[in-house]
Order: sequence, then structure tokens, then C-alpha cells
Amino acid sequence: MQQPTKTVLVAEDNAALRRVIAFALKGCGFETTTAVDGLEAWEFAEAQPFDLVVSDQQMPNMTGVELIEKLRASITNAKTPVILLTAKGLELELDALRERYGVSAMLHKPFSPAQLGSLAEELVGQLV
Amino acid sequence: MSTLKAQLGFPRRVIAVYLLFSVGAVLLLGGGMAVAVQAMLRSQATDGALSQVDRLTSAIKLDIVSGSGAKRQELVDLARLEGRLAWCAVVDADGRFTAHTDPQLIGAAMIEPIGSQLRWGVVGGIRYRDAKEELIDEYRVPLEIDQKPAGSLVVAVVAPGWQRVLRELSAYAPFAVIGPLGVIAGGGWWLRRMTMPLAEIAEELSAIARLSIDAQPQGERIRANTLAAIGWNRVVDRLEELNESTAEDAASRLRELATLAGGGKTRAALESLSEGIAVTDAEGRIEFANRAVAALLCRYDALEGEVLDELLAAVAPENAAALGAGSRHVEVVSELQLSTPIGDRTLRLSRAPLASDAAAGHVWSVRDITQQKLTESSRDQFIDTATHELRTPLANIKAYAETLAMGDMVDIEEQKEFCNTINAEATRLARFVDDLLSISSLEVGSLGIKKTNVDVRRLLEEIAEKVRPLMKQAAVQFEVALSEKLGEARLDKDKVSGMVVNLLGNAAKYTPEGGSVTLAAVRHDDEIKIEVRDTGVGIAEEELDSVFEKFFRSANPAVGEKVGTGLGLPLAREIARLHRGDIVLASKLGEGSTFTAILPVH
Repeated sequence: MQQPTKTVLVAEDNAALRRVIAFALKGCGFETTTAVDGLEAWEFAEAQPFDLVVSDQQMPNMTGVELIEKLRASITNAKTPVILLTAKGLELELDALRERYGVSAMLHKPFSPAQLGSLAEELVGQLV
Repeated sequence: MSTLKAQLGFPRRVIAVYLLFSVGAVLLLGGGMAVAVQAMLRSQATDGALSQVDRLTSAIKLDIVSGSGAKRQELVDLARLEGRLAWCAVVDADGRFTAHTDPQLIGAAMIEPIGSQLRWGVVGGIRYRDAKEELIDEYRVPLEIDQKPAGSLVVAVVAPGWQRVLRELSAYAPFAVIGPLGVIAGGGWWLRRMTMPLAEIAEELSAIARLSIDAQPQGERIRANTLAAIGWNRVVDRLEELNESTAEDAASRLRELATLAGGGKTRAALESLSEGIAVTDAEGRIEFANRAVAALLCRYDALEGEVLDELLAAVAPENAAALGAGSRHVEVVSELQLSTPIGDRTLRLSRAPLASDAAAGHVWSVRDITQQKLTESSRDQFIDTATHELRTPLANIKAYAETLAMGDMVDIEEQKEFCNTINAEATRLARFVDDLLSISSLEVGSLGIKKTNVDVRRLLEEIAEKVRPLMKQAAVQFEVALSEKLGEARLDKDKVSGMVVNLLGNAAKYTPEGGSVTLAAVRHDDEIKIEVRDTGVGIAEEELDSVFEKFFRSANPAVGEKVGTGLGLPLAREIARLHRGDIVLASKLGEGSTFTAILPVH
């Protein structure tokens, strides 16, 4: 039985990284929507529910954590699992973030796209 | 013994000793007087008796010769009265009384009494006690008529006994007793009067001696009836003055002392420190503060005598409380934010007790760490930036390399694209590392310049060609407007090239797509002006000065999203300054910026 394609929202300000994340997720069979910053991602997320959100933390206009706060308050993506990409692993504690915002996983840059892919599959699979 | 001493106070003891000696002296004097009176009485009696002897002897001889013997009795009676004799008698050659003042004994034989021998000239005698226990001196004067013994004349006197002496003395007693007693009493009173103040002073001094060692000695005024008392009262007054004098006076004296004692080199050394050093007493009053303290607290008058905590509370009400709450017995360090006419400053204050307890006062040190704080925050910001700038290209390189290595699903076009991305990211990393290296060499001052004669126009044209791809990538219009008359200048070609590329790179980076960047250069006399103009995001007025500071990154989010070390502009300005020139900036937020490098041609 063919399951409907899972959708992933990718928020990353670095174009190259956005491209490779989208490529890796596509390779895993996800349908990806990309946003250049938190604000654009929020505009997408407000309009439709996603199965997964992959977001960078450090972005102009709206940071990853700000985006997650908004998602949790929204109707469309209140329970969507989120993978947070961060270059500042020291400052953001996953436990605290999990507790407060329901961040499902955190990847420190530089990270492996394959690992991101399997993590995404795992998180979405759990929901299904 | 000790209790007796305590009861017998100083003046009483003196008076007791005085009385003892006085009584001794009186007794000796009395005894001497009695002896003298007795001797006097005795010689008086003897003289009285013997003064009669010559005359009586002649009269009796005459009576015997005349043979009548009738006047003999009359003569002895008369002699007894005149010579105050006990008795008087004439004894014949046979040893019988032929005449006697006691008529019953006439005719009786003379009894030889038992006693001690006396001699007075040729006259011999006996001293003895008679039946009435009276001491009798009996003198016998031999009577001779025609060379033949014809009996003797006997005179007896009562030797004065002690009773008689006392009787004699008692006549003088009122004078002899009351007089000396009065004198002694007067002496005692005078002695007491003289010693009382001394006793009171001694008592006061003993009280002071019993005070604890650090207590302030205090005394009571006493009755000013002697010079010693007046002197003591003056000492007490002075002590009171000293004790009553205010703490400020004490502080000023202390300060004077400190100035005298610590004067010269030590004080000069303390004054020369840029760090503020202050010493406060137990109440927190400033005993000493060097000039730096006043300068740091923006006070230009003397601080001595003021309470430092209050001063701090006045300049920085919120922060001073933290220090005040800290224990006064250990070193306390706090930071203080204060706004001064020359801007907001951060002071680091430390307060340590001078001795093991806070009673001795505290030593304070005050340091201006504004610059340090700024540097720290710039450094933190830099570490932030650097982490981001290093991790982002690294993340890309890793992600793309791994994706390529997986091999599947990547077509040939994508392989090429990914490789280019990896290359671009590696270049970005390299540029960042280059920036870091430049700035570190700038930091250690190894950024020397090697000037050569340079054709300025040709140099700028080369630079323009070099940055053209960058402009194309940023999708901005690039215009070059170089004067024909730029000529030659003595410049460090590589450094100036780096400087201009940096300015153009910034312009490209912060100018949105469709904007324009202009490189222009003109020559004014001995100066070359190289202008880099853009229609980019611009710089806010409050950030105009800061952009040349190391590690500074604008708060503008349009800048934040770009790669930057915060090192490019400080480096560019340093290069201009090494050429004895400068870089000036004109900008308006949202409209663009113009950086002008002014370089002297020689």
C-alpha cells in the first residue's frame, strides 16, 4: 500500500545548505518545501500542516526557536516534530528545548545529510 | 596588709607616720626636759645648802669660841629657812648634836646613815633615804678652832625626786603640752591639705591604670587648692578636649600623620597609580584616596573624610547596594555602572579589610574596566561570528562531500554543482582564515609597509578587473570613474590593493541585487582620494564610528546575515594610516555608503 508522500518544511538561510538538505530529504522520499528564513517558513507553516520541520537556529528575521514557538501556538503545526540545526551547540540545550518547545532532535553543524535523512524518517515514522 | 593599705589612704598614712614621729619627738623632748629640770633642782638645792655653809661655819665657830653656845640653835634654824634645808645641825667632837633644827634630837648621838658618798670641794657627804623615803643629801663641814677639831656642821637637803620634778613641771604643763600638740595638729592639718590633692590625683591615676589598654583615659577635676591640683585640672581639661574633639578632627590629624609618615615616595607612588586606591576607617570614612579615585568617580575636590559608600551610592544607586550588602570582613568585588559626562563607564571595585577584622578599616581599589568590558564583548561577539563563519562553510563542505560520496541519485550536472559549492565554501573559509591572519599580524604590529612608486590608475584598474566577477555574482552594477591625472604615488602596492578590494568587497556584499557600486579616484595636489560608493544597506549614524573597531558587527539584520569577521574595515583603516593617510566614511541608512581613502602621494 502506497502511503501519501510525507512533507517536510526546510528553513535555512544559507542557500548551499538549503539545497543539500532538500536534496538529502528528497533522496529519502520526502516532499520538501524550502524557506530562506524563519519568517518565510512561518508563512508556509501557517498555511498548511507539515509532517516535519527542519530549521536552522541562526537565521535573519526569525530564528529557529522563534519559529518553533510560533508553530507550537499554531493550529496547523502544533504537534509537528522539529529538527533544529545549530552552529551553537553549547548555548542551546536539547533537554531544555525539548521540554519547552517540543524540539524533537538537534543536529550540530557540520552534520551528516544521511544522518538527517534517517532522523527525519524515524521521526515521521513514529507519528505514522 | 593590702586591705590595711587600701583603707589607709595615701594622706592618712603620711599623717600617721607624721604623728608617730611627732609623738616620739615630744616624748624625747619631755624626757629631756624632766632630766634637765631634775638636774637643775638638784644643783639648786645643793647650792642653797652650801651657800649657807661658809657664813654658818664662821658664826658657829664664833659661838663656840665665845663659849656661850646660846646662839647655836638660832643659827641652824635660820640656816634651814634660808638655805631651804631638810634639816641642819651642829655636832660636837663627841658626835652628839649640840644644836638641831629638830629640837628633839639635841643631845642625841648622831647616827651614821647608810648611803653613797658625796663630795663637794673639801666637804664630804652621804646620800641616803630617810625614814620618810626621801632622798637626803647630807653634807658634813668639819669645824676647827685653833687647829683643833671641834665637831662639825651638818646640813641636809632633800634631793629632788621624780614626784618633785613632775610637780615642778606641772606648773608649765598647759604651755608645754598644749603648745606642741597644737603645733603637731597644725602640722597635720597642713600636711593633709598638701597631700589631699596628691592623693586624689593618685586615685585618678590608679583608676586610669585600671582601664583597658585601648580605652580613652578620662579624669575628674579636683578642688583647686594647690598648684598640683591646678596642674591636674589642666591635664583633665585637655584630656576632655581631646576626647570631645570630633571624628573629623581625629581623621584630619590621622591624615596629617599619614601625610607626614607616608609622605614622600610612598604617597607619590600611590598618587601615580592609574588604579584608584583608597583607605577607609571603620566607619567607612575616607582617610586616604589617591587622585585616580577622584577622577574615576568624577569628583574634583578632596574626598578625605567622606563616606565612600555614600559617594558610590550617589554616583551609581543601583549597583552600590550589592557592595554594601557584602561582608565587611572579607574581600568583596563588584562592578559598578555609572554614567558620567564622558559617557557610561564600568568600574571594578574591590574592598578588603585592612586587618583580620573590619575594625581597622578597609582598603579599596577602583579600576576603570570600560575598555576591558568593551573588548570582552567584542571578543565574545567575534567568537560568535567566527563560530558561525567557520561552521557554515564546514557544514556545507561536509554535507556536499558526503552526498557526493554516497554516489547514488546524484547526476552529472549535480555532481558539478556540488563540487563548485564545495569549492566556493572552501574559498570562503580560506578568506576568513586570511582575514584572521591579517588581523593577528595587525595586532602584533608586524604589518609593515614596503613603499614603491606605483602608477595609481593602473593599480586601480587592475583591482577593478579583479573584483568584477564578485560584482557580477552579487548582481550589482559596477562603475569605475578614475581621473586621468592620478599619476604616481609611493604606496605599498599589495596593501593598498588589499584595502581597496576589501572596501569594494564590502560594497558588493551589502548592496542588494540591482544596486550599484562605484570606484572613483581623483588627485588633489599631493593627495589621492579613492572613493568606494554603494547604494547598499548603509550604516546607522550611531554605528559610524564603530565600524572601524575590531570585531564590530552591525546590529542591522541585513548585515548580520552576511559573512564577516568584523576585521576588514579596521584592517583597511590601519593600512591607510600606515601610509599616513586615513579612511573617512559617509553613509545614510538604507541609501548607501561612501568610504573615501585619502593617501598622500609621497
